[in-house]
Amino acid sequence: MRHVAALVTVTALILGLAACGADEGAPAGTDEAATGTSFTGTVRIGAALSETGKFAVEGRDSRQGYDTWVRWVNEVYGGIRIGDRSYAAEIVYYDDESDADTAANLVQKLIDEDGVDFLLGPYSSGLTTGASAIAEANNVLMVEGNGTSDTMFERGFRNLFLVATIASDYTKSAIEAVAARGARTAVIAYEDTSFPTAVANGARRHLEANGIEVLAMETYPKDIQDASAIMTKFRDLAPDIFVGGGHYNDAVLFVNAAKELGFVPDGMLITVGPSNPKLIGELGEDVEGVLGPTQWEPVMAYEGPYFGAASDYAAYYESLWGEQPVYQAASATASALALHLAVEAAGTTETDAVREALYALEADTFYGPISFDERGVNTAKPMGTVQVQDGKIRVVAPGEAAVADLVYPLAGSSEGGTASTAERLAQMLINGIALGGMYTLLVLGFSIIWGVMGVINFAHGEFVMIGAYMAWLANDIWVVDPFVTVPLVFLVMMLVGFVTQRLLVNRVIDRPHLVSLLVMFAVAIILQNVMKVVFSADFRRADTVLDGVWQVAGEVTVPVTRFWILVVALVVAGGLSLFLSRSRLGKSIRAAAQNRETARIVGIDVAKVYAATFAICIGITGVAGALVSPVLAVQPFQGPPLTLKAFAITAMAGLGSVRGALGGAMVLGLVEAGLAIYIPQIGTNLAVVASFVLLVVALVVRPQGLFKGLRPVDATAA
Amino acid sequence: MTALLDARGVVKRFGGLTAVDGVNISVGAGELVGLIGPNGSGKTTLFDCLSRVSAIDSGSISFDGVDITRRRPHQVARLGLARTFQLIRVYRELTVSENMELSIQWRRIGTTRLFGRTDAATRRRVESLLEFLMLSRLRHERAGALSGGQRRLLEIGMALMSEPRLLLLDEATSGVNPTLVSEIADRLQEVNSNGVAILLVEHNVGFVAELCHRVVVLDRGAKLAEGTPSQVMADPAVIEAYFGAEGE
Amino acid sequence: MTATRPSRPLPAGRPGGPRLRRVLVRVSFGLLVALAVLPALPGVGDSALFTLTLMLTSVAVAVNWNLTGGFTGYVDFGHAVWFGTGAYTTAILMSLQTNGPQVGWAAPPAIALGAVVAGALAAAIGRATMRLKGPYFSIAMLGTFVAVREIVRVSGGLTGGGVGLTLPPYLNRPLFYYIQLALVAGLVAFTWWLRGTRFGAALVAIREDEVGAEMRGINTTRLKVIVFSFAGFSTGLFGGLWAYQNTFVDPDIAFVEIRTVDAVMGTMLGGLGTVAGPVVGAVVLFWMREVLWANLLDYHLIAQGVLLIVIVLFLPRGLVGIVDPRGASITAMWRRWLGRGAHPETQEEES
Repeated sequence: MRHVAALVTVTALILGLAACGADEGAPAGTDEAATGTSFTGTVRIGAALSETGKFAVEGRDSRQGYDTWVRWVNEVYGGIRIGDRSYAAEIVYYDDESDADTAANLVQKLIDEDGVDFLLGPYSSGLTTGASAIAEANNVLMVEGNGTSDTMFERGFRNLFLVATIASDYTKSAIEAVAARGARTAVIAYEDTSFPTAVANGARRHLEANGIEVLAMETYPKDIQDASAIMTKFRDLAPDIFVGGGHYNDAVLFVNAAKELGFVPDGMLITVGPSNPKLIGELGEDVEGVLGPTQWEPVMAYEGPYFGAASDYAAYYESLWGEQPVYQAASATASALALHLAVEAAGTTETDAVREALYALEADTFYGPISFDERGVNTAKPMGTVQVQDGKIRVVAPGEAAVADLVYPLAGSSEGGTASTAERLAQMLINGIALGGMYTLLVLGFSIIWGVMGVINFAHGEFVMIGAYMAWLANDIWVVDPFVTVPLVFLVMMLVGFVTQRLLVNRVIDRPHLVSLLVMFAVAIILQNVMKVVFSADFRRADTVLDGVWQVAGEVTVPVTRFWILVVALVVAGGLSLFLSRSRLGKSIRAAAQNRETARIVGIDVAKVYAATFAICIGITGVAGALVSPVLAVQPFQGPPLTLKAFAITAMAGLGSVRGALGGAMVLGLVEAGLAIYIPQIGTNLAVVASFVLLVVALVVRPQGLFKGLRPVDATAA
Repeated sequence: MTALLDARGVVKRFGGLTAVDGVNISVGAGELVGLIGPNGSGKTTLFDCLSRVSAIDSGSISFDGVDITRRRPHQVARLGLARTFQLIRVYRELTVSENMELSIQWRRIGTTRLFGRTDAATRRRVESLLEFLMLSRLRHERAGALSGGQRRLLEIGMALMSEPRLLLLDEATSGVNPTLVSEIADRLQEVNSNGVAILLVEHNVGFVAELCHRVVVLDRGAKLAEGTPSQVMADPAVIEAYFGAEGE
Repeated sequence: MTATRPSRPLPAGRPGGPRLRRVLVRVSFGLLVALAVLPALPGVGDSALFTLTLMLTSVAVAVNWNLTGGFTGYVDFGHAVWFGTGAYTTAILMSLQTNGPQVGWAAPPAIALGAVVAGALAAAIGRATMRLKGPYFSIAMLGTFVAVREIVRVSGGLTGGGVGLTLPPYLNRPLFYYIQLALVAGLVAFTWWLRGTRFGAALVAIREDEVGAEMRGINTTRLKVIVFSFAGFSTGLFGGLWAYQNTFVDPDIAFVEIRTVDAVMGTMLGGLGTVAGPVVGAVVLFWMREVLWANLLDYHLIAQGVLLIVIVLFLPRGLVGIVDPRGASITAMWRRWLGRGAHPETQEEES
């Protein structure tokens, strides 16, 4: 009967939760009209925005943009005038958590339950696609300024309006400007998702329309950590212009990779990033001269009768929020404004009339001219182009909005020619070995821990990440070179390892693999998100004096930083190997790895051995992180791909085998470099998959591992 | 007596180590044969080869005239060869009866009857075997909760469920308290007299001497001697292999 | 070796057995009825139904995962790949276009074929990867997941690449809800039935001791691959349904790691290897996430990490295990699992 009672309680709980769930949590806040003026009523507008998740920053900016309009309409303008009455504006917000399903669902809720008259768009094309589909199905108008992918406007929708410049035209003014200055060849790299693809395809069109030859067009996967393979390929083609597209973090990767490889084209155009002052803060003088599109800047020369000039709008915005507006905010305000003007022109909130008014709208605003074509796209407003000059962001195109001249070609641009086949091969080998060196250092700690203790450290990548952040912090605050931080990082990480081992790992050592795997996986999730809360998800990068390239022969270069990483890796591997075979502690470690019970019998303090092993290995792993901080993006989520690579290499090559780690790392590095360089277009995407395919193939073909390690791998044994 | 199990020239290597080195062994129908040898002589490895849990590097094995050298373990089991393991393998989370039910002769089921439930005939057989092994009162206990000796008996019962013609028993008395050992011996005698051939690996030399018709001695992977228990015990080579180090 | 847990045998004639099972059947039936009439209640609008449909999808994925992971003991870290395969096959078929009029397939055959393709892929891949054991199998499946996602991403011609595919929109939330409810109920009922058959018992044997099972005449390879293929097929079915409701697929929303993580965590939370476990666990996890997300913002993933540790270390038999001492234990993974045993008439019933 006890069982029955428990089950009934559980059932009731579930039903109760289901009923509660029907009411999806409190709305994120509504804005009420100021009580000063008397309004006849309210026009209710709904918006799903990202308050949490990966678009939280842009979501906040958008919300401030929408609220700017609300405050202005209610307090300055005197309300929305419909006929001879004034109506207060009200926006109902919900947090879409940067998730497309949630955004769509919330829009449905806004329509059904909150009964909004109109909708304003969420942030990003991904979310706007689904949300607008709901709006269209329910015949509710949505005006937006932050989802610009062309595909959204090819669906024949009648209820979606975009005030910003559409993605395919992002690069138009920049390309026209560099074409006018003599650019003849270009390369394009883009992330293979909706928005960057639209931008890249548009870029190709504009390049060709301006007589510039596109030498190569490559994609890269969404979670790319390292753009050097693509940049190497491009450098060998010696183009005049580089066009790169993705999101903010990709800008960090591109500039970094270009610098690492000594690739300085005459012009570098990056789709998202250069208009954001944060990038200059992160990359300093490396980003000098880089071009980028911008929907809007406060210094542009636009003006209109509503908010005044762009600078007036910026001042008003600052008075409300204490900071200068970014273009996402301006786009948001402009969307709301367009809707507002259409309602007033229609004289009603009735959907069909307002829609006609939107199609007919022609307005000059602080944001630029607004006029929608039959798709609902504002084709009157050109995309601006900025360039980083002397550490400042300056608008250089198009002519009517420009405040500075375009600098072209960039200072220090390379004169190099295209690479020959032999040179390409040599470069690939060098890149592969360099990559292998990096992987060796990254894998050693993981492999030894698994080999000695039988623990699969699924938080391995996170320890790398912590080491990387340590080096970056030292670099950022005290201008200390990452290579110099090594001893300190090693000691600190040894301590971290020791503590982790005592607290957690000890408890799970005797249990089957799955348990330790899951516990470490949980630790990984915790660490990732703690770091994200503390440091934000922005990509960071440390600076080292050991950077740049050595020109070896013709077009072949050796990346300096990676060379030194390789050196350190070999030293560490050699040292570790000697330590394990010669020293007393090392021998104890090997004995404990073979057979714990026998080791105990012989008098080895296995607990101490384990503690020492774990500590040393985490120390090495932290150092690896510190050393790759100038090369790979430092960010809270850099861990998992590295952990999985470590697993693949170790399982393939032998548990606890130093030689195996080195060999496996080299094989993987060469395969990845080869794929990235020799396979056109999708090479980088395939390289990501390489480690897994290699692992699966290796395990199925030779389950006992390729090298002999401290502990046998037998993937087919129970 | 025609050989039920006939293995010739079996070789099994692990890396550089040759665990079984060209062994010939055969068991006739209804025979009770013992396989002994010092630690590390390759007895369990040979069992693994015979029951096809391990692949052999060379040689041939046939069972009841069928060449099973490349067959998979479950196929061999369906032909009538059952086996127990040195480290007892029972389904620990399941009850004793459930363990037994799962050890039926699967060849009789085939794929179509796979989706049926256990039938009355099977349940009767389970009951009678449990009674035979004196485990009836434990039928609803979790197998993992049984004592070592009881689990051994269960494992033997599971092997018998499939109506085997040859039973390979690996260390049937290890970990079993002495009183139970003679019980096991009696049960095995009875099983054998019902026509089931038995090949057993044993450390307990007395057990072997009492029970077996024939004994095979392995040393370092090769057959050292073969004959009746008394012949083998008196063989100087065997004595040397077992007690060699102490004979100084 | 881990210590043996004390056994709690249920002696013959104890009332908890068959009576418990009757109660459970009634409770489940009642629950089903409640869920069926839910849409008729006031205040339960489309968005609430959509949320519930998503919950049902989570339950389905967890139940399917449990077939391979819980019953058979093969912990699959790449399970979401079948979901994505079904989703993409459906999307490709429904968005087919030639130069002329749209020739896209209708939903039911497209979704059905999506399931078939997922099942066929599972059969092919299972044959290779199920030769591996333990964490090797798990990681090999994770690798498969990543590889398939990338292959989909780079096969732009067929799959639309990173940009994705749009499906013809059809918004009828109540209909989807009922379809999904019926399918999930059917799936759970099927799992219940399966566990009582010899096939189900054999799966448990494979989990408990694969070598022993093989040695006792069970064709482990064939059975493993059959159940793996079915799990793939069934998960693909729900993937196809999801794609249709979502009206859009791209590689990063069709192939998400978190879907596998939720299935694993939900099943472990509820009770590995039981029938009710994945259902209870997936539901609880789903609502916990909704609550956590709404209130804890950035910290919800941290909380989930902590939850995982708690489950693994302190609640190895899951929630169902609190009620029923014979649930499967995570910590005794390779040896000490519980399915429900060979036949249903025995006294010791669990939920």
